[in-house]
Amino acid sequence: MLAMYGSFWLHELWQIHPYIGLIIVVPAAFLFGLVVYAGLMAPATRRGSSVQLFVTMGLSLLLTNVALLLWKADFRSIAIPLSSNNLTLGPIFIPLAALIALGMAISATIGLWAFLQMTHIGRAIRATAQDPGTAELMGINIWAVNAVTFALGTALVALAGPALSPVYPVFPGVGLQMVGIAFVVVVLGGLGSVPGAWLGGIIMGVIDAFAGFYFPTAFKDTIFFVVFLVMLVLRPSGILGIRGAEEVGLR
Amino acid sequence: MSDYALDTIILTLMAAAMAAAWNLFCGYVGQVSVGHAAFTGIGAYVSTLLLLRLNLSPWIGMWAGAAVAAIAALVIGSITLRLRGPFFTLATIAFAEVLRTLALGLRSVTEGAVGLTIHTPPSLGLMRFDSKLGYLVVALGLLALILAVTVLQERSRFGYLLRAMGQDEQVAEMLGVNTMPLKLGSLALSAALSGMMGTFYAQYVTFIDPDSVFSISESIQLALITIIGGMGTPFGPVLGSLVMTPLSVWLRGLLSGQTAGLHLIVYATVLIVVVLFLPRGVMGAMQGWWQAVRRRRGKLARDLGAK
Repeated sequence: MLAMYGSFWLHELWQIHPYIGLIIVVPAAFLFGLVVYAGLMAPATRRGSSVQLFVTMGLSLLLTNVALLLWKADFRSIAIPLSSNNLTLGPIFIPLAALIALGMAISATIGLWAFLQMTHIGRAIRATAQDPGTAELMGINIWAVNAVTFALGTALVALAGPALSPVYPVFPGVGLQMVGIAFVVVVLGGLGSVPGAWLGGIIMGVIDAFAGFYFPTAFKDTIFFVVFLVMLVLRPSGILGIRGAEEVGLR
Repeated sequence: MSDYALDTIILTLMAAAMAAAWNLFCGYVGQVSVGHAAFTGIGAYVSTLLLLRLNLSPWIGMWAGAAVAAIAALVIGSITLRLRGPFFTLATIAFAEVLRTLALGLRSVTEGAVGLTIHTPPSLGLMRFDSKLGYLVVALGLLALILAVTVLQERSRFGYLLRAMGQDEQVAEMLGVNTMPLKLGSLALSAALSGMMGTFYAQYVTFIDPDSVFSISESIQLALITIIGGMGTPFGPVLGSLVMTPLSVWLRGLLSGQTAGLHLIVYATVLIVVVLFLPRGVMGAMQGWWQAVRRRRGKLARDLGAK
């Protein structure tokens, strides 16, 4: 939500194209993530999972309402030539901006996966996730790793902001709307798995498209959550996730 | 006493009661539900529909709503209670959202987004009162009921087992505690009482629609109040509501809607501060302070006695 507003204002005030504004928004988000981690998440993590839950809930509520206060509830959109550019493949219309966003998502996913698999920091992150105690014994700075992981997550989410801003309006609640879907995607694909998140996203997108076609629009959102609940019953760890994570927590 | 003051008191009592119902399950079993608005919403819709379509008094509709909410709790609980931590919480969010979207979509039953309005004339039999005092008495009664249930639960074997589960479920299971039925029972009780409060809400506000009664924001505020006051204590929710509700009413009145989200900003900040620095809520902090005082007094007495 903040990233989308950032993108909007960069364009509104200084005519910076969202894809270029990306270069400002994403690193800013990374820094923001570091600050949030240091100030809120680190103490919260020390105190346990329900504290984390409430702190993040509180933060989300706080940021959403600060945005509401500052920028009101109006929907803002960026209208650039790109916004209405459609690609025609036979009988199919695809908004060009959506296609570019897809491209960004694919590159980001591959980039993240490669980062986690092949770089030193990536391995440190995976090690810390598997067993923080031993990782620390092996000399990994847990605090730094956690901070970077959180900030990285923030930055990736922020990537979606500029990517979507040509075609999706921004309003204070937009983040909450997307986070709901994101939860379902992650549970679907499996916590702890990047390819899983990718798979979950595709599946949800397809379900969304078909549900919109076959069901009355009023029930489209219900479908998401029903899918979610079904997943939780049948295979809580997700399609590609680590089994048992849902019962013992993520540790 | 002005209508505004009465309204604030009633809202405080109502929020305290709803939070207390939430606390019955979440405070003792320790699993956080951010979807309890589902249960209050069920109560509100069931009793209101029974009133509007079948002319059934809300006093009876209240119990019907409670029953439906309890059944819903059993259904959703049997699916989700074996999930731990954040997964359970996500499932409760999903459940509330399913109900919200269903209420929006099933227009023929619920009038969808238009909502339901109660315009029956004031009458005791129909739970509608001329002056706010009537509502005050009912709210007080309901709050007293829920608090009584909480205290009874705390002192009963049922509550004892719940708290054991809340502290460490696996150990409790090893010691032979039958966790699933206990958790289901607790959730159903909490849901039933939440449903009753939903009926009161509908009767007081006289207008319900899916976005106001089933919203996540409502659920979060319930949780917030209890956490700030102190989860797992009977009076925590009351304390939390005493602090937060008048504040939010005042904030919402301030600048007549210009500062739309201000009260939520304050809520959120207080939540973050309390959760990080007063983990057992204000109630817990007070208990801790009192124990520290008693310890110091005890030391003094011992020093004097040793002379």
